[in-house]
Amino acid sequence: MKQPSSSTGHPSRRTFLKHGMVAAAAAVAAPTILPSSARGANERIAVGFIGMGKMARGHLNTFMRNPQVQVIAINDVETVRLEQAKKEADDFYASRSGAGSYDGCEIIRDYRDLCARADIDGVIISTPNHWHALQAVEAAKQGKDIYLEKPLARTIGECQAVRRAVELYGTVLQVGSQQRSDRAFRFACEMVRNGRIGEVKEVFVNVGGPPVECYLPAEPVPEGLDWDFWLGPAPWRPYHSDIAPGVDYGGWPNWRSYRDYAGGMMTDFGTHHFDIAQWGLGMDHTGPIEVEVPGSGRERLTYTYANGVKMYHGGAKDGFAVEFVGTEGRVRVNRGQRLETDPDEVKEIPLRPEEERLYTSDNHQQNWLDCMRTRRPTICTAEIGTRTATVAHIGNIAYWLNRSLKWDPAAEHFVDDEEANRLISRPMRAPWRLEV
Amino acid sequence: MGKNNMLSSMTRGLRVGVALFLLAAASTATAERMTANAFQSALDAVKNYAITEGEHPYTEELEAIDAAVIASQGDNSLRNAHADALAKFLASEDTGVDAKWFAARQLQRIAGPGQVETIAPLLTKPDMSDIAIYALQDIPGSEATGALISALDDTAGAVKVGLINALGARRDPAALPVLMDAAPRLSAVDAEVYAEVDRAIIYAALNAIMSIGGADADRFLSDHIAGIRQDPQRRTALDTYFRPYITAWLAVAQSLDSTTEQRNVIARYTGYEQLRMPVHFQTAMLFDIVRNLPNFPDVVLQFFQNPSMPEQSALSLLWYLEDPDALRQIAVGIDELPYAVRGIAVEAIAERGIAEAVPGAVSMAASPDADMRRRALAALGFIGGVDEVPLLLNTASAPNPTFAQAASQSLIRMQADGVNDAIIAHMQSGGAGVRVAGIEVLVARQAEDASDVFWAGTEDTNAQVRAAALRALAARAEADTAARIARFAVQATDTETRDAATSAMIDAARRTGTQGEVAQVVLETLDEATNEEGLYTVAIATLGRLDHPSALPALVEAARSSSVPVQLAAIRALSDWQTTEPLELLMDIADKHDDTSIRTLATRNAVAMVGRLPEDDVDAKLTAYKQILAMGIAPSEVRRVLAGVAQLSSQDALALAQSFLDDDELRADAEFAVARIRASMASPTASLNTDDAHLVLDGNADTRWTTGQLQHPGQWFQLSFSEPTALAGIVLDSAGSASDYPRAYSIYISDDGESWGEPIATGTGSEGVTRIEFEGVTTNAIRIEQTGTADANFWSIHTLEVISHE
Repeated sequence: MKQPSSSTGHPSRRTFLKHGMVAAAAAVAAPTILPSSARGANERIAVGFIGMGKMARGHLNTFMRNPQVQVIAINDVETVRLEQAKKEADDFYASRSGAGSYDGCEIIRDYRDLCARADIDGVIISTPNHWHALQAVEAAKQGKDIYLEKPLARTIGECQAVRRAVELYGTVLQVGSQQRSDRAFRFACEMVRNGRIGEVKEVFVNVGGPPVECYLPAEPVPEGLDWDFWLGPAPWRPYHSDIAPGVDYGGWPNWRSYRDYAGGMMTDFGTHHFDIAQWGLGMDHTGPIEVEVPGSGRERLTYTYANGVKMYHGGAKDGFAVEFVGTEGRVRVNRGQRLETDPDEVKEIPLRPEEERLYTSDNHQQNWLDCMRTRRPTICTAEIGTRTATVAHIGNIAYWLNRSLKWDPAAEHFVDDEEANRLISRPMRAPWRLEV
Repeated sequence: MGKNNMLSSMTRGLRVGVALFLLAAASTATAERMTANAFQSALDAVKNYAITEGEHPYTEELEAIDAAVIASQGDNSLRNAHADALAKFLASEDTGVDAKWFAARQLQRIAGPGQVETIAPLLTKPDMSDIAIYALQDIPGSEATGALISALDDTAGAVKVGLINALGARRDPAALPVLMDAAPRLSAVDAEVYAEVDRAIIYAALNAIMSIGGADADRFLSDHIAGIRQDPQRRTALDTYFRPYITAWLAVAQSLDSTTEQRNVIARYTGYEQLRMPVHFQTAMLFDIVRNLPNFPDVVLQFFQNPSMPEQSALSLLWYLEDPDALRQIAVGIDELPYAVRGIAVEAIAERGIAEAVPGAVSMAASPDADMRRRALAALGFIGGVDEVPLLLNTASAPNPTFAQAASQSLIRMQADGVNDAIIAHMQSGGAGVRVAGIEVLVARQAEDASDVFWAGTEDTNAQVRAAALRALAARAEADTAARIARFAVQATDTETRDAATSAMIDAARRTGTQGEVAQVVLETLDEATNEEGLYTVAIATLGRLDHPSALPALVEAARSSSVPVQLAAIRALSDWQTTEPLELLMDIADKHDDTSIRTLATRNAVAMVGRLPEDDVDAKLTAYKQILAMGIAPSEVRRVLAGVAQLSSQDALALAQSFLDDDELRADAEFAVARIRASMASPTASLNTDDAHLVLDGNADTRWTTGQLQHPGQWFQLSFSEPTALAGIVLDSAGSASDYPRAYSIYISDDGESWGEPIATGTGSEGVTRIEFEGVTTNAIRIEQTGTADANFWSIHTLEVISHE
C-alpha cells in the first residue's frame, strides 16, 4: 500500500501520527463486521411511509412507480387511510408483476416499529409538522435516509435537533422544498447570484400569514383514528375535524393553521418561497439579522440581512411568488415555469462558463434516491431546511409578540431577548422527547 | 346541488383559518395592557373553561388574556404579576383542566423563578405533571431545575420519565448527578429482569445526559461502554437494551469542544468492532475522528483505503470532508480506494476543485464501468484544463449519447484558461465529429474568439460540419452576419449546404432584425438567377420565410410566373405572409388557374389566410369562406373551410356549418364546427377567476383560465348556452400548463343553471389533454367539477372544446 507523506513536520505530532496510524490501522483492520450498504446501481431501494394523508398519497403514487423503489411499509394513526394506501400499493405491484395479487406492503401502527425494520432503507415522512422532528430523529437513529416534507419542523429548536441527528449519522435527508428542483426557480436564482440584475436590494415573498391559537370545540373522535397518538407531543385538547378531518375530506387539513401543530402559511408555503429567496441571495447557511413587524415604520413584515438586503413578507407582483429587485433589474418567478425579468432579455442569455451554477436537480424525489446511493448531500439538506424554516419561524415569533426582533444567525438565537428565545422550542407532552 | 355543502365544509377550514388570523392580528394590533386586578378578574371568569362539543366557550376572553400577556412585555412588574396570577390559576383546584392547559401555555412564555414554588407541587401529581412541566420547563435558573430534581424521588413510571425528559430539555449540568444515578449500567442479566417501565426511566436518563452533553457526560457514558464490552454475554450495539447507551455515547461527542483539547479519539474508538455497530454508527464514529484529527489527512486516507470500511461510511465521510489536504491525499491515492466508490469519489473531490484528482479522472474516463466513466467525465468539467480537452472533445463526438453529453457538458463548464483555444486547436486535427462537437461547445461557451472558426467551418469538406458552422454563426449573429450568410447560401453548390445556410440566414436575420438587408441580397439573386429555375425557386421560398415587406412584389410576380415550380414556391411563400395582403391574389389563383395543383394550393393557403383576418371581422371572414366555397372546391378543401368557419362565433357561421350536416362526407366536420361555434357563443363561468373564464374559448392556446389555487375538490368550470345544445363530450386542453390537468372530475348538466342532479360522467384527467365523452345529452349548461387534489398544481384550462351530438 502506498504510504502517503505526512502533511506536518512537528516531531511530537509525527510521533503521535505514527501511534495514531498504528492504532487506527488496528482499529480498522478487523474483518468486515457488517455488509456494505452502498447500493449498486441495480438494487431497489426499500422505503416506508410515515403518514398517509393527502401529501403522502401523492408521494406514494410517485415512488411506487419508480422502478428503483419498492414500498414495503406504511404507517399512520388512522386505519382507513392505511387500508386504502395498502390496497393502492398492493394493487399496483400486483398489476406490474402480472400476479393475481400482492401483499408485500405492511401496515405498521407505530412509526418507531417502521423505523426499526432492518430491511427499510429510507422513509418518507408526510405528517403534520409537530411530528416531523420526532420521526426524523428516530429514523436517523435507526440509520434510515429521510424524505421529509416541509417545513423541516414545527419550531427552530426542533429543526436544529433534526439537523444534529442527520449530521451525526451522515443521513441523506431531503426536505420537500421541491421548487429547488424546478428549472425556472434555479435559473432565477442563478441570474440573481451572477449579478444579472446588479446588486440585490430587496426581495418580495408572497405567502400567507402566521398560525393562530386553536379555539375549536370538541367533536367525537372518528372511529379508526388514534387521537392521542395524532396529538403526540402537542398539548392535549379534544378532537375536532377541522384539525384532523376524516378520510372523505378532499381538501387540505387545517392543522397547518394552528400554532400547536404548525406555522400557518408562513411555514406551509413560506418554506417554498422563502427557500428560493434564501437560495437566490446565497444565504443557505445563514439568515436575516432582524425582523420588523408592520407598523414599526414598515408596511410589511421586513427581514434585514447583514449585507443590507431587505426581504418583505408580501408585495411581489401579482401571480409571482418571489421577486428579486436589484440595482439593474428585477427577476420574478413562480410555479408553472413563470419567469419574468426586467429587462426582458436578461433571461434569454444562457449561463457562461465563468458564471456560478447552482446545484442542478430536475426531479426532487429522484435527487434523494440518487443521493442515497452516492451519499452526496441532497439539493435541500437539513441545514438548508433549518435556515429556511427559521426565516419563517422568526417571522411568526415577531408576529406573535407583535414587535421587532434581532436574530443572530451564527448563534441561532435572538439577541438579548429571553422572551423570544423561549419560543425557539416548545415543551413536548410526555413521554415524547427529542433524542439528540 | 348537494355539492354545495361539501364545498362549504371544505372551504370552512380555510375561512376559519383566515378569519382567526385576522382576528388575532386585530387583537394583537390593538392589545391593551390589563392591570393586575383586571387580569385576575379575567382569569376568574374563565376558570370553568372546558372544551366541549358545540360552540367553543370564552374565545374572546381567552384571546384578551393572551393579548394582555403579550402587551405586558416591557413592564417587568406587570408581567410578573400576570405570571403569578397564572401560576396560582394553574395550581388552583377550582380551575378546570382545559383552563389549566391555557394557563400553562401562557406560563411557558413568561413564567419566571418566582412562579416555581407555586407550580412545583403539581409536578408529582400524575394528572397534572404534564401541564406543570409545560409551564415550568423553560423557566431559567436553578429553581426550576431544583424543583424537577426534587420531584423525582416522589414519582415513578411515566411521570418520572416526563420529569427526566424536562431535565434533559433544560440542558442544565446541575442535573447530571441525579440523572447518572437514574441510569445504571444494565448488565445482560439486568436487561432481562428490568421491567419495561424501569428501562424507560433508564433510557430517559441516558437521553437527558446526552442532551446535556459535556465532558462529565462523556466520561460517564464511556465508562458504561467499557463495561458493555466487558460483559461476558458480549452484548453489542445491535442489542435493543444496550443501543441507547451507544446512541448517547456517540451523540455526546458532538457536544465536546475539539478545538481546545486534543481528544484521543483513536483510543476512544479502538476496539469498536466488538460493539458490532451498524453502518450509520460507524459513520458517526468516523465523523468524530475526522473532526478531531483535522491535521492528519493520512489517517483519513487509511480509512478510505481499508477494505473493511463500509462503503456507505466512506462515501458519507468523503462528502463530509472539507480539509483540502485530506481531499488531495485521497485524490492522489484514488486508485487504491474500493472499486465501487472510485467514480463517486472522483466526482465528489473534483466538485471541491481538487486538481490532484485529474489523473484519476482521466484514467477512469476510459473505464468500461459506465457509471464510473460518466462520473469521471463530469469531474473533468470542474478540474480539467487544456490537457483534457482532446479527451473530452473526442468523447463528445462519440456515439454513446450518455458519455457524449457528459463530456460536452464538462467542456462547456470548464473555466481553465485557454480552453477555447485548446478546443479550436484540437478541432483542426480531429475528424468531422470532433469538429462538429467543437463548434457546438464553442457556441455554448459563448466563445468570443470563435467567429473565424465558424466561418472557416462553412468551407469544411464535411456537410455536417458546414451545417454546424452555419448554425453557430446564426446563434452568435452580429449585424452583418445574416447578409453574409445569404451571399454564402447563394453560392452554395450542394443542396444540403444551401438548405443549412438558408435556415441559418433566416435565424440570424430574425435575431438581429436584419430581414430587410437579407431580403435585398436574395432579391439581387433573383435578378441573377432568372434562367436558373432551381435557384430561383429557392430564392422565392427564402423570401417567403424572411417575411419582409420588400419581398412582396417579387413574390406576387413569381406567383404569376409561367413556371409551375416557381408559382408553387411563390404561393407557398405567400401562405405565411405576415399580412393578409396577398389574399385577393390567392383567391384569384384558386378560382381561375388552369393547373389543379396550383388551384388546390392557392385554395388552401387562401383559407388559411382568411383565418388570419382580424379576429373581430367575422363578416369579412364569412364572406371570404363563402366565396371560396362557391368555387366548387373538392370535399377535402371544404373541410378546411369548415375548420375555419368553426373558429367563428355568429349565427351566420352556425347556419353555414349546419348547411353541411346533411352531407354524409362532410357531416363529421360540420358537427365539429357546429359544436365549436355553439361553445364559442356560450357563457363561461368558474368558481374562481371567473373573469378569465372566456380565455378558454378565445382560440388562443397561449391564454388560459386557472384557479390560481392548488387543486382541491369543489372547484368548477361551467358553460351556459343560449339555447339547448346537443353534446357528447368535452375536451379540456391544459397543454400550455400540462401538469395543471384536473386530477379528477365529475360532469353535470342543467336546464336552468341551478339544478344539477347526479353527475353524468366521472373520471380522472390526463397530462395535457383530457377528453371526456359521454352519452349524448341536450342541455342548457354543463359544469365540470374538479374532485381531486394536487400538492403543487393549479387547475388550468387553455382551450375548451365541446363534442357535438347533433
